[in-house]
Amino acid sequence: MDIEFINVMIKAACLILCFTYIYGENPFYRLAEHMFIGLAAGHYIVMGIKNIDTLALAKIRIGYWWYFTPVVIGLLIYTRFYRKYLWISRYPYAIMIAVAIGLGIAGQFDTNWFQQTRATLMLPLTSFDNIFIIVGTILASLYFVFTKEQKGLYGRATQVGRWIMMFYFGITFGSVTMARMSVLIWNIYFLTTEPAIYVTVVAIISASLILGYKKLKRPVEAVVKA
Amino acid sequence: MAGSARGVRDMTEMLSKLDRRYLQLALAVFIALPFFFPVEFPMTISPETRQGFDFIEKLREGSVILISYDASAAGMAEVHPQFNAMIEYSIIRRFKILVVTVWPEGPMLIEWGFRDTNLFNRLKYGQDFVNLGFIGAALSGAVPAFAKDIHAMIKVDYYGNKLETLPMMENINSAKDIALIYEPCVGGGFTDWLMYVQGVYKTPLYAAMTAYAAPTTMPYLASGQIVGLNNGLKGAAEFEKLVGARGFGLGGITSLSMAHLWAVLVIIIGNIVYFATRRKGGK
Repeated sequence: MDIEFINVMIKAACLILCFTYIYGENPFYRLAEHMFIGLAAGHYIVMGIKNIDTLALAKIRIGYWWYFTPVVIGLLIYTRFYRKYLWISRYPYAIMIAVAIGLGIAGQFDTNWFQQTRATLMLPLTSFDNIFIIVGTILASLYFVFTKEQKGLYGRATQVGRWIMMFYFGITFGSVTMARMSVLIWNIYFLTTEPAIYVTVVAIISASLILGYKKLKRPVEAVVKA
Repeated sequence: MAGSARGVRDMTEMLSKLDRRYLQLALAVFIALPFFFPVEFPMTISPETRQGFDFIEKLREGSVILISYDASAAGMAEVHPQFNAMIEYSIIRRFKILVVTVWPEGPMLIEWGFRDTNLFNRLKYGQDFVNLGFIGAALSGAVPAFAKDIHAMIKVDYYGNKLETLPMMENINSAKDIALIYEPCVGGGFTDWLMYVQGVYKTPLYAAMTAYAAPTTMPYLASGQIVGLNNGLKGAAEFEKLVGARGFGLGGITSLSMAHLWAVLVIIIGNIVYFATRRKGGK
């Protein structure tokens, strides 16, 4: 049997097991959840090892021996498991933090602060959009000035700034909904295409039979108990 | 008159007690219908996608496109079609394609992306495209090092071939040799390319994002820091339409519209039921 076919069938079965959670907490969903956790852990370990191989070991193998240095520095992190040598693990952490901070400050300042402020200030006041962006930026920024009490005219201005932020949160919420719907559509599309649709049909029939059986069984049990 | 009022009351009562699982089932049916009975809703191209497409249209044959597929399986629905469409477009326009990722799951998704792309067998590895795989995690310093000197940082490609053995890589040394960075991503990874490559080398950057990351990216388009923005599945459908590729973007957009219509309908009905119940003094 074609391995790709088996892959698709397993994927479809696991997806349906996950979807059973919509009905309620059940052992089928638990099975899928535990399988996912185990597989994800295994997958990340394998990917981690493969990435170490690609980024460092493969280079060492073809003669770039100095790539051994970051591997050794990385391995020093594990000294934290030994109380006596714990201090050594601070060095790799110090290097990582220093690099991240250095890169972060340099990049963030220009990209997110300078460029954005410049773009906002340079907007020509020729359209409603541009006026809205400039006024909105100022009012929303005013809301975060905490050294002045927000009352009177100033308070009203910061209130408008707050509404503008609410617009943004609303847009973001709508976008998140769209993103989640897209994931659902992607999975339903997969379940309605061949050969996954056979698993879907079997699952629908099985679910109907189980639910029907449960519904029929309930009054009988009640009678027996009585 | 009294009968119809009672009918409305009964209906309100029934809706307020309706099991939420019927709504979810109805949503699934709404989404699945267009797959069995294909219909196409009219679709307008948003200015963000149009702007990006206009930019790539101006690129010359042989231009180097760097595609950084920075996504996980959870973001595939929106990102995967955008990756496929760009590869297909690059094949038609004869661009040189360099693929990388800063997400550990990326290499696997790149391989799936190649498999799912139409016309992919037209490409010759090493001459038309190169896959460098995972170059290092986002915000780890990998991207600035890569942008400065690709050959100094990467010695072998994803398949273990030495970079000097790949003809395409002869003239690609740094971010300056790249005509466009196309970024199908779920959010993370984009910041690296924006801060350390676009910001430093002014290499044009085109974001193809999931819908939940797109609103935070909009200001970069307005400031000219990115050349285009594809917003989620809708952006994917628009991009596919513009470049002439047919994939999940155009296939799923009707379902997305149906799902949104359903959500709007349920919100309206829910509010009517809520206010009707409140008028009766219920909770």
